[in-house]
Amino acid sequence: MNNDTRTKQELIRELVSQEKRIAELERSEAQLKRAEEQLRAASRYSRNLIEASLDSLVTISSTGKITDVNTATEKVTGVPRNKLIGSDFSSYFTEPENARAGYQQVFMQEHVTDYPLSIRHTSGAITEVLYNASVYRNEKGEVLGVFGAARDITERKRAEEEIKTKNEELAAASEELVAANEEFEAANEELITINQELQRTEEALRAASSYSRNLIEVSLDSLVTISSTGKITDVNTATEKVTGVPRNKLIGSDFSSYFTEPENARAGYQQVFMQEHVTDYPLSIRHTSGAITEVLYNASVYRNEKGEVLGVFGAARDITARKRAEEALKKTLADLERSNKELEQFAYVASHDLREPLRMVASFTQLLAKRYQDKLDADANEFISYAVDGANRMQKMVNDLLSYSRVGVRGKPFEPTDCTGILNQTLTDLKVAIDENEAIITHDALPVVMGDELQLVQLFQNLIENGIKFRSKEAPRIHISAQENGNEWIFTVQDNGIGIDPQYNERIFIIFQRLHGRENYPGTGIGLAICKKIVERHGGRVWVDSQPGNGSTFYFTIPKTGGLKP
Amino acid sequence: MKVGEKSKPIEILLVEDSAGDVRLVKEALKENKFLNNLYVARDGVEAMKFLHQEGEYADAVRPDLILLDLNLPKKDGREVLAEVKGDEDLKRIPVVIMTVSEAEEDILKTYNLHANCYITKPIDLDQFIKVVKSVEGFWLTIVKLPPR
Repeated sequence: MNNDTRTKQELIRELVSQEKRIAELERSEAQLKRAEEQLRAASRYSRNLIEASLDSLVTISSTGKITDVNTATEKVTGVPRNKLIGSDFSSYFTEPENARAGYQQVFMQEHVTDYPLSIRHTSGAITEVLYNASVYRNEKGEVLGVFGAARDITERKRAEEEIKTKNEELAAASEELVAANEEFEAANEELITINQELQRTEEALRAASSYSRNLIEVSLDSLVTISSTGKITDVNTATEKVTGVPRNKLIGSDFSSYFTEPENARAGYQQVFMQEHVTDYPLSIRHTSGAITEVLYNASVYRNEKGEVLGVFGAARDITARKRAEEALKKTLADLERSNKELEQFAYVASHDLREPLRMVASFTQLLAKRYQDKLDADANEFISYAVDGANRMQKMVNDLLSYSRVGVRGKPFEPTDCTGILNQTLTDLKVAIDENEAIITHDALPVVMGDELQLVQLFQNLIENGIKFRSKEAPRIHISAQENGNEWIFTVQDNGIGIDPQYNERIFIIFQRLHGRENYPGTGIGLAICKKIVERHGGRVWVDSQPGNGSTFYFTIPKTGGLKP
Repeated sequence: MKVGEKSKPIEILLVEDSAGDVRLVKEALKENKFLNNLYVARDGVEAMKFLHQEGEYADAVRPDLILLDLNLPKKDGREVLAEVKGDEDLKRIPVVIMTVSEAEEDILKTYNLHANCYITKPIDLDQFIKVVKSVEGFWLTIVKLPPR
């Protein structure tokens, strides 16, 4: 009895202490679960931002293997996440060499900005992107690898990005936890095991959360989340840098107040809610120092697990440098255009005004020859003949130079021009040469293009004339055709003449460049230079494909802009 | 129509600032068999003085034909043309424009000012001589000129 009582009391005591232990374990489990919930929420939030990013994000290990990607990266490559991770990062670019060079640069300089690359989708589609990338470190500050953010700069089309709400790994871990919870009451040992598991999960979650957060912080793009009431709820380091405002001041403030045009910023914010996202929305951020940073925003809504919209996540890319470069380029182009115009004007005026004194030189040497040839000695005759020949040649060159500069200076505005009509006109003009050489000239249907009729006649005439002039022993056969190629027409003028050594493919289009002696083929070497100038004035290109003895095919393009089908 | 007044030379006023061109015109006219007297004015002001018989040109003859260059010092050919064609007395004198300009606006403007014909000076000597000869031939043997 006593024994029994004692045993009972002991049992009760044991039970009580057991219950206490269970209660303690339950309390500790509840605490762990709460902590886990918080961590899971934090991790999910950071991960959500990463997945919500319209920019392709990637982390790469120090050995060049992809360690993490977001949905945008799967989309732009067409490769699923599980295939991407562990693979060589450079293999998804059209120029892996360049990609590897950029990757090396990140290690050397800590980061790179606006590094241009092209990503190849499995379908073959190419996406041109600019990379901002930086190294990322663990808590001890050791470099773990590279974090890169690629912004699509070619097709700024709608990114139908769905925000992923669940982290699959976390979901799996959660399920394990639920199962473990069910088993909880079965055994105390299991509680301990579960506790250990929870601790491990917590560590994993903490690591996942700090990892995602790290990525956000190392981003060179300014990142921000904004609540549905327009208050900033989160920022990264880049945002502090670009505004000059510390994080604690930024959070809770009106997001629009940091832009030079708050109205525009608010309009963009509204647009995100209406369209789920915006891409390349231009805004200017004002730093407290007054400095302005021009940025393009990619922004999207982000949601909680239930799919409810919580606010807007925005990523701003600094385009100040790009814009400055663009403006510098624009200015250089304008300068170049002006100096070209001046040069053209100069060539025109010079060749025009040179004709007068030259006419005097030529006329009086001719007069000298006419009156005094054979009245002086043989030397004098020879001198006179060289003077006459030189003056004549110079006259031809000055005239040709004048025609050349006229292409730019005296061009007419473009009008719809039927190339069949142009060709017929040309053939009429060349009738004598065609008949003399028994040339056969054929053509396909030719389109109507926007052009300067007189210049197009000159273009066809020069090319066909060349085909006849540089003939082989066979009768010249020349065929003219045109094919559509996207936004342009490619014209071809194909002959069966003597052909051109490919090493001269460029040279023949330069003014006064000749490949043959004047005795065999007369002319100053202006024809193809004029062709090039005419084609370029029409916004096209001209080139040749030829082999000596196998004829030549001249190609030129005319943009379609407003042109009509044949 | 080869008139008996063949003995009576034709009076030509050449308004031209380039000595070389003056000489070339003289050389060309030398090759023609027609009798002519060539007077030369080196700028527009001199040309108008000659036509109005002013100053040292008090005894100048009234020309049967004016060969007029467009680009002249002091007063250019367009102004000379406008003054001649705006003058009740002088406007009957045929004016042949001889210039290097091929510009459409020059051609149009001078015809609007009632130029009688417009000729671009050929660059080639033989062509030049041929043109001057045929101009003289045309105005001498084909055209009936108004009485002086």
